[in-house]
Amino acid sequence: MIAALLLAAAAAPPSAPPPIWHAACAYCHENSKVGPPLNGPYDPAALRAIIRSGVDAMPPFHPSELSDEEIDALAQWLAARPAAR
Amino acid sequence: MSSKSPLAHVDAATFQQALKAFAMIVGSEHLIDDPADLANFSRPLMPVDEQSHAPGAVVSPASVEEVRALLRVAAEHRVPLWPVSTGRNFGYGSTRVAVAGTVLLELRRMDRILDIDPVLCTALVEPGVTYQMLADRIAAEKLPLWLDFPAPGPLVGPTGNTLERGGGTTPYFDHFGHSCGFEVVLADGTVLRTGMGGVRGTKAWQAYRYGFGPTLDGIFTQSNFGVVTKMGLWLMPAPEAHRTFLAAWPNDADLVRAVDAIRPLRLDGTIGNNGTIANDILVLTGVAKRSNLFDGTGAIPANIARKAAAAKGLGAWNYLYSIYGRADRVTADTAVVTGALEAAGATVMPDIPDPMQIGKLSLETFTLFDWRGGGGLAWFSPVCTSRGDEAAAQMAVARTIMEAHGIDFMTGATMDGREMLNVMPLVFDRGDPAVTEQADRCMRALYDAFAAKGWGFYRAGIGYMDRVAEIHGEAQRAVNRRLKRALDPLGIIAPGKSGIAL
Repeated sequence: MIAALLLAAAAAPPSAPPPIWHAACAYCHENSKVGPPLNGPYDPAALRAIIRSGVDAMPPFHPSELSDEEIDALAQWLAARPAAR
Repeated sequence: MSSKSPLAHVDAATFQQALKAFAMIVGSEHLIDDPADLANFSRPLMPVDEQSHAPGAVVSPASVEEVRALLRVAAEHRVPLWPVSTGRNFGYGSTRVAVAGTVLLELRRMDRILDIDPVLCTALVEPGVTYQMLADRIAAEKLPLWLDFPAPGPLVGPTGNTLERGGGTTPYFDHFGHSCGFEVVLADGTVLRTGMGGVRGTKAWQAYRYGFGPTLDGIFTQSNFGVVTKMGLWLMPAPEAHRTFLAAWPNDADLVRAVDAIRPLRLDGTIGNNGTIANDILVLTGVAKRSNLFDGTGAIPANIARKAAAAKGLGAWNYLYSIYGRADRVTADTAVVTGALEAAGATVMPDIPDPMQIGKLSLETFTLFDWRGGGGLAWFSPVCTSRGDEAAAQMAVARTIMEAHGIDFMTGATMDGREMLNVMPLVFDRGDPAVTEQADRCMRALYDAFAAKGWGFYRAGIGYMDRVAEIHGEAQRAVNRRLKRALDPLGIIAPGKSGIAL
């Protein structure tokens, strides 16, 4: 019974992405030539640092548009999703 | 608490008192004054000195009442506020300020879509509303409406872009021209609604722009006379049909006949939008990596860019445009435009996918920012008449100066019937101080050379606003100063914006 539940959990698809994924990230990081595909897992602290400061063409995302908690949720979702294209 | 005030005219204790009062209004979680957080918040792209344009803090109100309260505190302490909506304005200043230490008034938390009228095709939004939010709402309500937006569409919003008089690429490309009604908080807390907005019970605020008496909307664009807290805009009814084309001319000298062929088609409306005339290097940013084409120092040689563009079927000049309307009209106008452009030497390629020209959000153009690595960007944005000979003259002057400074010459001019906004991105490695200084010298040389030719500007970024205001003449500057003194006598709103100060 427990084993079956664990198997079911392992096979479960990742939950829906956080809203910021479609509102910003996916434009450059999914089927795009702008940014690299994001294949997690990522360290939430490192992800937060990049999102907050931006890098090269990627702009910084401010606390007023994306909270630390939302970034952590993004990191969790990226870690759980299948390899991006 | 810092022992030093970031503002030259305010002591540290007063500055800290102001921040404390700001935090009391918005909540301490909506005030940023930690140096590391501030540095992240305000990463510079432009080639200007970082410290000279660094904000002293960021405060984010959630309502008009909070904006009014913040202005009151700002006046009491003489701590100026610099309004931004989403704080992007890539290549024109982002979240940098004209006078170091000015506190950013970030309006992103004011993000309500107050109305969308599917009958009159209008919207009323707060400054923090992004095009993405509007697109989501339009999709959720299944409304047959299009948005028009600038290249960073999903990340930015209509209020900020309109107030900078930015543009897009559908028939509603002129964002200020398609705005209708501002709500503005003045420095003394007065709330002004422009146009029809002062009429009690009006239903026409977003329908009729001019109201009664002087039309004031324009003075709140590219200015520092008030804080815009609501804006009306018009939305484009989705056309029955549309087609997007790319017309390519093979030679540098073809720009003259290209512009002269396009002009009458824009003047009579056969071509429905402000298409973009891009040179070979700019279009290559979307389809090639610079490092694969050229690994030398300095600007990419013209012959290498030309050859690379030709290999991909692109020209020295490439005009991307669309035809919109009823299906029969699109068919008829396509024949007219294709015939005229082919007669002027173009190869016309039909049905080109370009999301921006058909109201679909995209960030595809961000490949431009990585062309050289390092994330440096500044826009040089002269106005040109829609005459082929003048366009060619501007390009020649700009190309010579940019290449002499090691910058790749790029332009993506938007062309209307009478004027071209000849926007040229300077892309450089912001991480290299010597390159960044060289880019700044290039910008200044460009302004000098264009001023000497009698060419003015549509827009200017942080660090270059005083120079552009000077080019546009002392009389305009003096009148702006008089308006500033009348509406903001303490100078607490965006000092130095567009070269306007007390």
